Amino acid sequence: MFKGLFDFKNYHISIRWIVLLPIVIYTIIGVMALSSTSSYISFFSSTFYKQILWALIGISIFTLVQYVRIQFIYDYAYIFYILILFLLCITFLSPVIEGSQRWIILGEIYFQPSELGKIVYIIGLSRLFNDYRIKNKFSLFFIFLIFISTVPPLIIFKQPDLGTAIIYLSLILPILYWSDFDIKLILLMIFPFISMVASSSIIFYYVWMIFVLFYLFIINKPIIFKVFHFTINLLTSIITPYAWTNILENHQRNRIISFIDPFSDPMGNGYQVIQSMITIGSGGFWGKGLGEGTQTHLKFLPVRDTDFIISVVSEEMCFFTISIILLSLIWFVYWVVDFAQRIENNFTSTLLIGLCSMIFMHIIINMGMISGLLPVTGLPVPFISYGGSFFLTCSIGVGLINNIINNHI
Amino acid sequence: MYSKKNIILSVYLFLVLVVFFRYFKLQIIDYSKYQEKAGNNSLRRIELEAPRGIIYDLSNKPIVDNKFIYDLNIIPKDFDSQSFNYDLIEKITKINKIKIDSIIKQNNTSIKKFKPVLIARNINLEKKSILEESKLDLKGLYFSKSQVRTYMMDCNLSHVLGYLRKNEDLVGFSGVEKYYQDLLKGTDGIEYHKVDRFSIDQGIFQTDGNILPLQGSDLHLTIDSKLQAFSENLMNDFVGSVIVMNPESGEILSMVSKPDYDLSSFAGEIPKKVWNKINNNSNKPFNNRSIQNHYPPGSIFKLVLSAIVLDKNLISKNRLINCNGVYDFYDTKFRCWKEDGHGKTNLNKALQQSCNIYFYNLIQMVDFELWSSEVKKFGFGDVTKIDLNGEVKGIVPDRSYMNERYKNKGGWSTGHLLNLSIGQGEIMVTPIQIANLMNIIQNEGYSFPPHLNKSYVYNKNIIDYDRKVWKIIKQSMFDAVNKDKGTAYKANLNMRGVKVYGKTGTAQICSDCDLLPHAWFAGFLEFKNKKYSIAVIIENGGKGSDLPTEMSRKIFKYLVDNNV
Repeated sequence: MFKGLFDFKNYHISIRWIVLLPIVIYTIIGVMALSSTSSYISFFSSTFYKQILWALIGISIFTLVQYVRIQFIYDYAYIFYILILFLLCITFLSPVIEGSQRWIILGEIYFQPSELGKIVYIIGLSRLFNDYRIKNKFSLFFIFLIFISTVPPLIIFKQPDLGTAIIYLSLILPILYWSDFDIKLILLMIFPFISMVASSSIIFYYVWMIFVLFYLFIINKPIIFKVFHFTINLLTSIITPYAWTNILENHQRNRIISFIDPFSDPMGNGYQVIQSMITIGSGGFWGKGLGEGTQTHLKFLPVRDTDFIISVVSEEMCFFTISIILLSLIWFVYWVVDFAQRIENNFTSTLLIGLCSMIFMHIIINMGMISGLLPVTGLPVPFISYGGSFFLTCSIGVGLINNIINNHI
Repeated sequence: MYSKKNIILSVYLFLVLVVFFRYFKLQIIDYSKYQEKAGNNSLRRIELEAPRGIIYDLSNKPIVDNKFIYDLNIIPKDFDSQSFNYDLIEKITKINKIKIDSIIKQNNTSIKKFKPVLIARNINLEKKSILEESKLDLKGLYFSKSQVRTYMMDCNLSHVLGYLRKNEDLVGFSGVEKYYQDLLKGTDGIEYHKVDRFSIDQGIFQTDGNILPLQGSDLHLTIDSKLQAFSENLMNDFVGSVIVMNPESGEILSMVSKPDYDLSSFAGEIPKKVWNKINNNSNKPFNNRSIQNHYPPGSIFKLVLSAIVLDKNLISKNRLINCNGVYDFYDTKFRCWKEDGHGKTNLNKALQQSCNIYFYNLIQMVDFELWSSEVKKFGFGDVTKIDLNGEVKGIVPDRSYMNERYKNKGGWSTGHLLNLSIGQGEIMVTPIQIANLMNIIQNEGYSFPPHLNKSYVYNKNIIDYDRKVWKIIKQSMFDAVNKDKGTAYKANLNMRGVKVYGKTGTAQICSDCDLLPHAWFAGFLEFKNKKYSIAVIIENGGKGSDLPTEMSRKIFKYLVDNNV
C-alpha cells in the first residue's frame, strides 16, 4: 500500500528558510522555556533534554517528508481518511486514562490517532472540497460533505478531547474558503452560532438580528433562501435560552459558566486561568529572567511544560518574546499563503492553507485561552510545548509545506 | 485587492492583533496589578527580631546576653506515623504517642496541614541536635527558633534587670529592660521569603525590601555584680532592701530587694505554675522594695531635723537638753528608747545614742511648714529620678496633708509632730531616698540622682546649708559607729585608714502589736580616696542596731577587702 510514497530520485530538496525561520525560532524559545521548568534529576525526567531529542527526531522526520510524493498523498487521501476514522473509533476500546480514551495501546506503545489524524484530516478535506467544487449554493450534497468533515471532530469530542476537536473544526472554514466556496455562504454558516451566543444579552441580540437582516438583504440570493436562513437564526436564538433553563442540569450550567467566566470560580475551575493571567501579567516588559519566575517555579502555574508554556515564556522571557512569537506567526502565515496563491494545483494549494492554519490555530487558540480570552481546554503550542508526538505531527506538517513549495510551483 | 490571499491574511492578522493587544494589556498596562498579585501569591514578609542589647556590669562583664531556644513542631502534611520514632520523642520531651497523634489528627485538615503545629516548647540545643540526628525517623519535625535572655552572673539582680514579656514583640516588662526598652530593642529586620502554592517556604527572596535586623545598643550598668551577689547572699533569709552607692556620682553599685525571683524562669514562656507561685507569695517578690515600698524612716530621720535646726541657727551644737526617759507633753507621755534616760545630752550625743527626747524638743523650735519644705529639699516626698519605672514618692506631711488626714478624726495637734521628729508617724520614705540622704551628708550638701546606667545624664541637687552643719552631722554619725555607746557600734570595722559613719533606725509599725519593728541602717564609708554609701532595711528586723548594722559591717568589710 505504501509503495510509491517516497521518491528519492527525482525529488529535489531545498530548505525554504523564509517559511522555516519562525519554526526554528519557536523551537529555540520552547527549549529555552523548558530549560527553566525542567527537572534535571535524570535524562528521563528532564523535559529539556528530551525536547532536544524530539527536535532532532523532528528534523529527521522533516527530511524524510521531503521525499514524499504529493501525488501519492492525493491518491490515497480518502483511504487514509477512512483509516483514521476507523482508528479513532478503536480508541473507545482502550482503557480510560486520566478520564479520556485518546490512545490505542499496543503493549508499551501509546498511539494517539487524533494527533497524526490532523494531517490526514487536512489532506482528506483538501481533496474532498476540491473534488466536489460546489461553489455557490447549499445543496443536500454539500451538507453531506460538511457532515463527513465533522465526523472526526465529533468522535474526538466524545473521547473527550475538546481542544483537539476545536482544532479540527477550526480547519474546515479556511479549507472551504480556499477551495473557492463563496465567502458569503461561509458567513451564513457561522451566523447561527453567533445567534446562539447573542441570545444571552437582549441588546446584543437585537443589534445582531438587525445585522443578519441587513446582510440577507444585500446578498444576491432568492427570497426563499433568505427567509430560510433568517428562520434558522431565529430558531437557534430561541431554542438556546430554552435549552439553558429547561434541558441543562444545574451542575452542567455551572460547568459552562465557569468555563466561560473563570472568575466565577477562582479556587476551582477558574484557578488555572487566573494563575496563568497573573503569570503572564507579572512578567511585564522586562520579564523575570529564566528560572526566576515565581509563578512558574512555586507551582502556582499548572501544566507549565505543555499547555501553559507560553505563560512561562511571558513571565520569564518578557513581552518582547511574546511579540516575537506573534510576529513570527504572521510572517509564517503570510509566506505560506503567498506560496499557496502561486500554486496552480488546487489540491496542493489548499493543503498548504490547511497545514499552516493548523499551526496558526494551535498558537492563536492556546494564547487566547491562557490569557483569559477564550475558555480553557487542553491544547499544546506547536514546537514550543513539550511533547513528542505533537512535535512530530507538526514536523510532518511543516515538512509537507516545504515539500509542496519546492515541487509544485 | 479582494483576493483570497488578502482576505485570509486580514482575518489571521486580525486574530494575531487581538491576541497581541491582550498580552499588551496584561503585561504592560496591567503589569503592576499582576505583579502585586504574583507577589501576594508567592512572597511572605517575615519579621526578624533584632537581638536586644547586651547588659554589662561595672567591670564590663556581660550580665545579660541573648540565646536562642527552640520550639518543637510537627508539620502534619509531612508527618508519617508508620516510621515516626515516638519513643525518642517521649524520651526527650516526655510527650507520648497518644498526645502526638491527637494533636496531628486535629490539625490534619486541608488548610492546616501545611502549618507547623507546636508540640513542645523550650527544647535546648543539645536535645535539638539529638532529635535532628534521627531526622529520617521523625518526618515532619520542624524547629522554630525564638530569642530569649540568658543571665551570666551569680547574682539574681531580678528587680534591677527586670524581665521580658512577649506580646507581639518581646518587650521589657520591668527593671532596666523596661526603662531602657528603646535603647535595648534595636531595629527589627524584614526578610521576604518565597512560598509555593502549598505555603511551603522556598527560601529567601532577594529584594531591596530585605532589611537586616540591627542589634539593640548595649547597656553598661553601674552594678558591681560580685558585690551584688555578696549582698544578696546576706539578705537571703530576710525581707527587705540593701542599696550600696557611690555618693560622689550617684551610681548604684548594688541594689537588693528580697525576696526576689529567678529571672531565668522567664526566658521563653514562663510556666503558669511558676508565675502563680511568685505572684501569690505574700511577701510580693515582684515588688522592688528599694524604690516601690515606703517605710517610716525611724531614728535616721533625726539627721534631717538636726541639719535643719543647725542651718536655721535655731540651736547651737552645744545646746544641752536633759533626758530622763520620759517627756511629758500636755497629757501624753512620750518616751525615749532608753528607759532611764540619757541625762544631759548635747546634739552629738543625741545623734550618737539616738535620744528621742532631744528631738521632741527640737521639732518644737521649727515651724511645721518650714520643716516640710526643708525635708523636701532632701529629696523626700518625691521621686529620686532613678532610671527604673514605678518609683514611689513616699510621704512628707505638711499642714494641708495633716488637715486632710485628720479631718474626721478630731483634728491633729503638735503631739503628732513630735513623732515626726524621730521618723515615726505620717512620714514615709523609700530606701533609695535614705541612700540619697547619705549621699547628701557624705558630699556635704549635694547629691546626684541615683542611677544604674553608667552614661545616665544627671543634674546635681544642691542643698545650700552651711558647711559646718554637715561636719557636725558627720561627726555624730562617726561617733555613733566608733564610740562604745553609739547605736551603730556594731558597724565598726576597727581598721586603720577606714572611716565608717552610720545611723540606725528602728521604725515602729504599730503600737501594741506583736510585729517586730522595721530595722534600718544607713551610713557611709571612706577609705583611701573611695567613698561608699549604704542603706539597709530589714522588714520586721527588730532593732536597727542589730541585724542591719551587722550586715552593713559585712558589706563595708567586703568593700574594703575587695577594694571594689
